[in-house]
Parts: sequence; structure tokens; C-alpha cells
Amino acid sequence: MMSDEELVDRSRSGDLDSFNQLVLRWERPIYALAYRVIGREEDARDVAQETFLRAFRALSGFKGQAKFSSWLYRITLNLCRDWIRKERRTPITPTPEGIDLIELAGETHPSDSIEELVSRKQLSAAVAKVMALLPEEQRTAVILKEYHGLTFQEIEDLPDCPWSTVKTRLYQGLTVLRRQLRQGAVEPTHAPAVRHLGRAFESRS
Amino acid sequence: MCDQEVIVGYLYGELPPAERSAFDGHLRTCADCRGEVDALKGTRTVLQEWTPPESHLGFEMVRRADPVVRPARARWWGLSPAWGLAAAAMLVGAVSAAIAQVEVTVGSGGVTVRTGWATAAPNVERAQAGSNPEFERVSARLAELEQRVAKSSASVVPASTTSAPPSTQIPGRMSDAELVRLVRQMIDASEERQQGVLARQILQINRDLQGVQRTDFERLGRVTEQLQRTAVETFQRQRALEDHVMRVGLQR
Repeated sequence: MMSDEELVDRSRSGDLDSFNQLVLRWERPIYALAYRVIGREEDARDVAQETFLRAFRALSGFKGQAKFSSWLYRITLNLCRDWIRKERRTPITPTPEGIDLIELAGETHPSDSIEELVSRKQLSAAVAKVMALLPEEQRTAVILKEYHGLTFQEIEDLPDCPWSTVKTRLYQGLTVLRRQLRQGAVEPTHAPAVRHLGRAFESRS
Repeated sequence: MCDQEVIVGYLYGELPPAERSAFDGHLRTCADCRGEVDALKGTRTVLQEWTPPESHLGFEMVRRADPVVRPARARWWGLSPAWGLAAAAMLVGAVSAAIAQVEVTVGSGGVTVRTGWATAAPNVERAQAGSNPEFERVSARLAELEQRVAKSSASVVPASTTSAPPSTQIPGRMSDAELVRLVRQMIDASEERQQGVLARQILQINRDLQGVQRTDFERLGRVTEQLQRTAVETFQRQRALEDHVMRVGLQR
């Protein structure tokens, strides 16, 4: 398999297929990054698409001083920042309510119990909710470290992230998350729907 | 409490080896730091539960000026006589015409009929077309058409579309109407054929849908079963609890 850098070289000399291979390789992580930063699926897709467009146009300016992926992340983060500023929006979080059991069942492994699934879904929503509380820099630091596995050095190379503060931001972010997630956001709860159905069943018998 | 940066570095495995083992040693003696590291590890585990919704991506860069590689399939409905003529002109003239899903090439070796739907034998030469009556019919008509054209006088019909080669020689007045009719007949034939294909495709989609529905129902069944089981268990637990409370009450 060709490395990112080899594919970049080929793309730079006009090989569209090579660039599309890079797109295929990176579209999921880039979309996930955008989604976690701005919290809207549709907009995250747009940001991801725009990231690749910009990357393609700016390919000649990419001299390989950083990893290709870091370079992409940087473009994505800039676009996310633009989105947040332009829309004057804070990241949206999915609400933990309104969990559709049937939809949930579609995502299951047969071995998962419904309770597990509901609580996982709630957990995911709870994390999203608490993440949205973090200031942008802390959130970005946590996202890049936790979900994209960048090294501190790589995060440092991204814009507006001086080396000395990355670890601090990460620590602060994690501490807030730890506190908030402990404070009931993730209390193991019984699924309301299950309880409700249980009652209905009971009253019939 | 230790330096935050050291804790974070440790947590993400990015401390230099010497610092790491030093901190390991420290953790053995300092309960505070141990508790801190453990709690943050727990937080990290919970964070992993956050997954973005599945989204259809499939981005692809395409060059806008890229020429179309395959000839576009011509639509077979709503053809005007002029268009039909143009199509006929292309047939006669030189290379190929795409009528419905039938691609016809007239060359020195004879008439080649290539179709989009015939997967088993995409190329059918006139001479070998015996196996499929449909191809045979179309081929025969084409041959007929070709002969008529060859016989006709060499008056040039003004090209109604740019796609007709400039050298195209088209039969004179005598066969204009007839040509249109012939082309229409061919179009009708392929239309019939296409409707057949369409019907088969609809049937297939229908079957697929039924399959999907069946799996959906099965899944629904499983979910309901599970819910019922949970409900029964809850009910039984409550019963047991009530019994227990009753017994305790009676004992007092």
C-alpha cells in the first residue's frame, strides 16, 4: 500500500486517482473530527468535503513539513472554527432523550441487551453533552488526543496550540469531563421505555 | 499532587522512559496521584463511547472537463422525427448510434449490435445472432435499412444535429418518411424489450424489499421478546419483593 506521502506526490503531478485514494483513506476521520467539533452531521459532512477541496487546491503548498493527516486536520479545524464563528453557534449536542428502541436494535450485536444498548446510547449522548461544555481549545485538545491519537508534538504543530499549553488544556478538559460525567450525567439508569413497557405488561397480567 | 503535565504525559504514554519509571515509582507511594490517574483513565474509557452518527460520505474528486468515457445512452421515448432522422443518419454515416440500449455499429464487416442488457453475450454479430430472436429481428431490420440506403440516391439531407458527421449521405425524399418509420419500429422493439427488463427489475426489487421486511420483522420480534422477558423479570422481582415485605410485615 502506498504511503500518504507517495500518494500526495502523485496527486501533485495531476494524478486524480491518487488523490481520491487519499480521500477514501481520510474521509471518515475528517468527518468524525468535524462532527465532534461542531456537532451536526450535515455540516460536518460539508466541512469534510470542503477540507478535501481545499487540500486539493493547496496541494502545491504542502511541502511535507508535517504529516499529510495533520495538514488535513489543520484545514478541518480552521473550517470548523469559521463555521462556529460565522454561525455564532455553539456545538450542538444530541439529546439523550428520544432514543428509538427499534433504531437502536438495528445497531446491535445480538449479544447486547437492550438495557446495555440504551445506556450506551445515553452514554454517548452524555459525553457529547459534556464535551460541548468545554471551551473550544480544551475540547479540540481532547478530541485530537482521544479520538485521533495525535501526539502532543503533532497537536503543537496545529494553529493556535502552543506546546506549553496543550497538556494543560488537555488536563483541564479531562478534569471537567471527569467531574461532569460523574455528576449524574452517566448515572446508570433503567431505560424509560423498558420500564414503561414493563408496567404495561404487568397491568395486563 | 503531581505536575499536571506529567500526569497527562503518563496517561497518554508520552513520557520519556526515565520519567515514566520514576512516575511509576511515585504512584506506588502516592495514593492521591494513583487515585487521580485511575479516575482519569476511567474518564478516558467513558469518552470512547462517543461515536459520530454513520454518515454516507464517498467523496470523490472529478475533473469537470473530463470527456464522457462511455457514450450516453439515448433516451428512447419522445423522439421527434427529426431526431429519428439524425439517428438514422448516424447509422448510415459511419460509426455508431445508441438507440435505447442498443448500440449499433455499421462497419465493413457487417452490422454489430451491442446491448446494455445482454450480459452473457454482449456482442452479437449479424451472422451469429441466431440464438436470440430479438437481436435477429433488429439486425435484420438494420440490414434492410442499410440496403435501402445504399440503393438510394446520394442527396444530402441538412444535418439537424451537430452529431451527424458532415459526410453523411442520406436517402432522398423517397425514404424520409419510411426511414422515420423504420427507426421508430426499431425503437418500439427495444422499448418492449426494455419494459420486460424493467418488469424483471421491479420484481427483483420487490423480492429484495420483502427480504428486508422479513429481517426487520424478525428483529422486531427479537426486540419485543427481549422486552417481554425484561418485563416478566421485573414483575417477578417486584412480586418477590412484595412477598418479602408481606412476610416481614406478618412477622412483626
